[in-house]
This record gives sequence, structure tokens and C-alpha cells, in this order.
Amino acid sequence: MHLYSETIYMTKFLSIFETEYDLAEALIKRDPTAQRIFYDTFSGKFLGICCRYIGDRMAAEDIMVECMVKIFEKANQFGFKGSFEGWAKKLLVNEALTYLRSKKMFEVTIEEMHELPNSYSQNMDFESEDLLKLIQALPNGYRTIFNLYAIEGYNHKEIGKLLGISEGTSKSQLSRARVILQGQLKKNEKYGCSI
Amino acid sequence: MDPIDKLFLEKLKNHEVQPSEKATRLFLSKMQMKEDKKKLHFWWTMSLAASLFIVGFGGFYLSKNQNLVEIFQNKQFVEATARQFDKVGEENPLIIEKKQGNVLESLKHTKENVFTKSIGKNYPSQTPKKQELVITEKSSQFTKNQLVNQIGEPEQIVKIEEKSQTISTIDTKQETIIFLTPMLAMNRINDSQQKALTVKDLQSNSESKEEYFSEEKSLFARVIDEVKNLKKGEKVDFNKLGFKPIEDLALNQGGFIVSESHQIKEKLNWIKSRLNNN
Repeated sequence: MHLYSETIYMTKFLSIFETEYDLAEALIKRDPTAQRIFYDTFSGKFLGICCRYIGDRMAAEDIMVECMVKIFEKANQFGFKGSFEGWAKKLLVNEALTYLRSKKMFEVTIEEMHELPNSYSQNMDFESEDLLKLIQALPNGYRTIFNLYAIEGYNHKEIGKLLGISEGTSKSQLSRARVILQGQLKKNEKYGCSI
Repeated sequence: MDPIDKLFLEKLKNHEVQPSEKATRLFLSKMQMKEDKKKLHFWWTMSLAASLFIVGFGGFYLSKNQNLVEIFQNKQFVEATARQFDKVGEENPLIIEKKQGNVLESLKHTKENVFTKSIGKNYPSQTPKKQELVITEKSSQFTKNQLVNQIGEPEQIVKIEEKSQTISTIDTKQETIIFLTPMLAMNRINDSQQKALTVKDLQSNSESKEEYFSEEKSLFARVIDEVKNLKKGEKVDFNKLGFKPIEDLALNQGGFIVSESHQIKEKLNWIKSRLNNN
């Protein structure tokens, strides 16, 4: 059922807007159909990103909806350079970080950690849901830096600039996050991957 | 790349979490609110524009109606005057060639009548002459000679070239200037030696302008003038301005300074006597 509806929306999206830029143009014109199609197409992806940054599911949904509205409002600022989805994702990440800052959930502990040698089996298959739960279990600071570095592809300099911390702090936070995740993966491997 | 990073990147990069019904409803309600606001804004703008249009149109319509009333009243006045002349058997000086002609023209004739009355010249009742008040664009430029000649011969009527087409386009404000200026000039002419003062003269000669419109200066204006004209090191001459000399004020027995100092002296004496008694 879910797959079916997804296919319908994607078909609709592709039939009405041939390219991403067509959709962006329609969003700039505040076309309600385009807004609905955009929401239906990207809400899942965007909520996935929000859930990686914010542990609370309800809060993540709120941020996603808020960001959707913001994207519609700021669509005219998209310069038609690069991917519209990428531009929207950047907005979403910034929105999530703003939320974390506003709730004072972003804590940075200056603690040097030493990475453990990779002791879990790399052949072990983990479900996305399980890995998401592992990330959500991390402290906010570790989680944010791990997300930005490992998944979004930011470097330490950019992370330091974005979060207002030093490169060294970013590196140490990442290393701590990795240690925790590694430990959790090993544990799950041991207990048959039930998180 | 770190294997942990790689694992999480592969699994979570395009991971999707389906939003709940509540989130979708929240989104739809937000969009609806935006739409409502947009509509409200649109209707606000439209209603504002409509009200402005109504007010503007109403104002225009009312002003036009007022003009029509004025025209009607003027017409009535002209007709009444014409009837009076007809009764006496005079030739009607207010010749209105077109019955539904320009009202300004009729006004012009009316004012001409007033104008002639104001200079105290009554036309002989039995031998009326057709009079033409002609207003040139620079009718304010009456010359002394012209006017004196005109007044010297009661039979002669002020004759000025008429440009009817120009007059028909003159608005009421312009007409006021046209008719008042010669009247002022005529009043000046009555004073035998005085030169007729025209608007042009007024503009050219600032002194005569001051003389013409001068009023007695107020005390405040005099003080301001005095202060303005002060040179470096000079003091304001209050005596010149009409104030009492400052010395007189200080020595006035009933004045504030003397009475205050007297009271202080009395208090001091009273304190001294109290101290001496103790």
C-alpha cells in the first residue's frame, strides 16, 4: 500500500514537473499542487534526516513540517545552481541545528577519546532502523558531529564554523561517537542484532 | 573512510521515515493558514482599493454637484438682473449671447457690474450704453493714465479687449485675481496723487510691497529684529524696543526686586534680634 502510493506520487511528480527545476519554479510561484507534491515526495527523506539529528520523533516531525514551510517561503532564494533537493536538505540541517541550539541540547565535552580497533564483524547486516536507533541513543553533541561528518560529508573545519567550536573539539567528539557506536554494534552482534 | 562511517552512510544516507498522520495534518493546516492569510490580504487590498475608489468618486461627484448648484444660482442671479433691466427699459448690460453658455462669462459680466458700482460711477439710467469689460491675460496691468481717463469721463466705459475663448478656459481662481486687482488699483486711483499699484509693481518693488501690506510690528517681532541686527559686542537696547529702563524697574518701590530685598532684610533683622535676645 505504501509503495503503491509512493509510486503514484512519484509518477504524478514526474508527469507534472519534468525536472527538479520545474518543481522549484512552481514552488517559487507558490503553486499549492507543487507544494503538496513536494511534501509527499520528500517528507519521508526529510523526516529521516531530522530523526538522525533529533532523538524525539515528535519534535523531529515538527521540525520537518516547519522546514517544509520555510523551503516554500525561501524557494525564490534558490539560485538554480546544483540540486534543489540538496539545497532543501541544507536548509533542513540548519533548521535542526537551530532547534538543538535553542533547546540547549547541544553539549560539547572536551574529552579526548581513543578509538577502539574495529572489533565487530563488517559482514554483519544491520537494518537502517537499528542503526538509526543507535545514532539517536548518542548524546546530542556526538550525534550532531557524527551526522555532519560521516553522513552529510562536512569536514572538521566546516563543522567547527557551523557549530562555533574548534576543529580539535569536532575531531574529539567524532572519535568519541565512533567508540560508542562501535561498542554498541559489537554488543548487538553478540546478541544477534536486536537493539 | 572509517568502516563505521561507511556503514552508517550506506544505511542512513537515503533512509526515509514515513511521517505520521498528525504531521501531515499539521502541514496541511499550516498551508491552509497561509492560503487564508493570502486570501485575507487580497480581500483587504481589494476592499481598501474599492473604498478609496468610492470615496474618490463620491468626492468628485459631490464637487461636481456643488458646481452645478453654483452654476444654477449664478444663472438665476443673471436672469433676475436681466429681468430688472427689462422692467426699467434699459438695454441689458448682461448680454448673454448663448443661453446655455459658459457660466464664467456670465460671472464676468456680473463682476463687471459690481466693479463699476465699486468705483461709484452710475450709468445714466435712460441712456444705457453697451459696456464691454474685456479681460486680457494681464488685466492687472492697468496704467494710471488709462484709469484716470476712464474715470474722468463718466460716459466712457472701461473698454478692454475681450478674448472670449481665453475667458472660457479661465478657472475661478484666475478670475478672482483678474477682477480684484483692478479694483485695488482703482481704489488707489481715487487717492489723487497715488500711483496705481499693480501686481507686477508689487513683484518688482519690494519696498512698495512692504508699504502696501505693512502692519504695525508686534513686540515679539521687534525683539527678534533687534536681536537679528545685533553686532558683536552689542547689547539689546530695551529702551529702544519700548521697555521701561531696567534701572527704573530695579528702583520701583512696588516692584518685585525691591520688595523681595526688603523682605530679606526684615528676616535678617528678625534673626539678629532673636539672637541678641538669647
